[in-house]
Amino acid sequence: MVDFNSEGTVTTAPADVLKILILEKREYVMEALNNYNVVKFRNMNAKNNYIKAGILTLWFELKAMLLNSVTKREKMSIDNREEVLTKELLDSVYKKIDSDKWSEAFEFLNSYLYMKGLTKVDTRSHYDKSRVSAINRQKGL
Amino acid sequence: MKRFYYDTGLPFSLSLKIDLDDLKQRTLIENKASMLIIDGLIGLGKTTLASHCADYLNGGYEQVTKRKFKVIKEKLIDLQKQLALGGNDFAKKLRICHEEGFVVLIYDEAGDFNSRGALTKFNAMVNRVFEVFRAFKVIVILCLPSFTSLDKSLITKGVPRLLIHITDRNQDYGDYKVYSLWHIHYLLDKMKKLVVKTDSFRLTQPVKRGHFLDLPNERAKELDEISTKSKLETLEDVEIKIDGLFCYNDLAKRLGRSISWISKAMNKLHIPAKKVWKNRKYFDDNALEVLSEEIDKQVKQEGGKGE
Repeated sequence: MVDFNSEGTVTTAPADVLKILILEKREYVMEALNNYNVVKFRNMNAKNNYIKAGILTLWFELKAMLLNSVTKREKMSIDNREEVLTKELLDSVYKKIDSDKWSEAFEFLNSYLYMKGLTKVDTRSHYDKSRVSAINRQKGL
Repeated sequence: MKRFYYDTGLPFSLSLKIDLDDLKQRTLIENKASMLIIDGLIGLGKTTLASHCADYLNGGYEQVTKRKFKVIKEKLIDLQKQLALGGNDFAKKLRICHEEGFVVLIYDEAGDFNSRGALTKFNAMVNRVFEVFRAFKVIVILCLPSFTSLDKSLITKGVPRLLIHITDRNQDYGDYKVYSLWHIHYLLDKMKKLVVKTDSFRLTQPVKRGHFLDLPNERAKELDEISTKSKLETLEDVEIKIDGLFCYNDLAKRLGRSISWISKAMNKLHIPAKKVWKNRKYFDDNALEVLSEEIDKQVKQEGGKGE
């Protein structure tokens, strides 16, 4: 997706390029997951090596960001409950990647991306458009 | 048979209730300034809808079930105290409302508070009142033929929260459109480019539409008496201005004499008043001539003494 030989990329801020790279890696995992499921639902022996490799790559891509969040003690929702990010929690996620619980690890990384606003597209607020006071409040009046 | 209430028990569409409730919440609980503008061409029933809204805000309609209301006659607004006609009356009645704990006040015939007279003392006074009326915890309902004549600074300040534009009325019911403060800004913007200003209401999607019914007979009669009396007063005020009549103050200013001098001279010369209005005597051009002759005479006499 990102063409490093293009002039457009050279003039783009590194943060923006990195955002696209992270999303690209997430997309690889998604595709691998799709292929895995296709084979699995055919009742054939599906192999998850592509998925695990993808998640691991995503993990290393996000590692610096995750560690930054640990030092800031940011809160994150894990299994419908809010938890402060700690080193121990990250270690447990890392262990899950190589085990059978890779889906949990991917879920964690996915929700982390949502929290950071990378996959957050549902930002448009919804309000009661038949209520005058709601419109005024929404428009900052 | 003519209907005065809908099946819900309210004289206006149920959807308007939500906005009126929000307005009440804003003023009484959140302690913010709130004003409702009712705008519509002459004779479309602005005062009627204003009194319906005021009755509701005053607690005149008790909610029995979710979609059923009951009229409590004791809690309907006191038209004598809560209906102000014109700016001077408004300032006076705002104080009365605050003292007696009324929630709502109607400022009818608000045409005198307009942007054309932006620099007048009166406008400055009313503008000031609107800046501080929050403290009184009173919801003001402003009725005027076109909200564009309002001072724009009032809208920028965010005092009017809701605009009800009355589109039409027949002998049974009237139609209205509701706009938010946000919509008001767009209405104003569209009006800049339009030749027919009222087309702006057609081009801006309203928040909701609704209908309202007439006032019950005895209440309509009561309103008519108050309203017509004020309109007659306005007419006579205008009449005096058109006739070019002068009161003592005007004469004193024109002739450069004190008011007491004028009144003494009037008594001496037995000049009859052309009209007496609100305990005030009004005189015509003739009086002005007679008085100026009198001044000339006095000056000559004084000059003769000096020689």
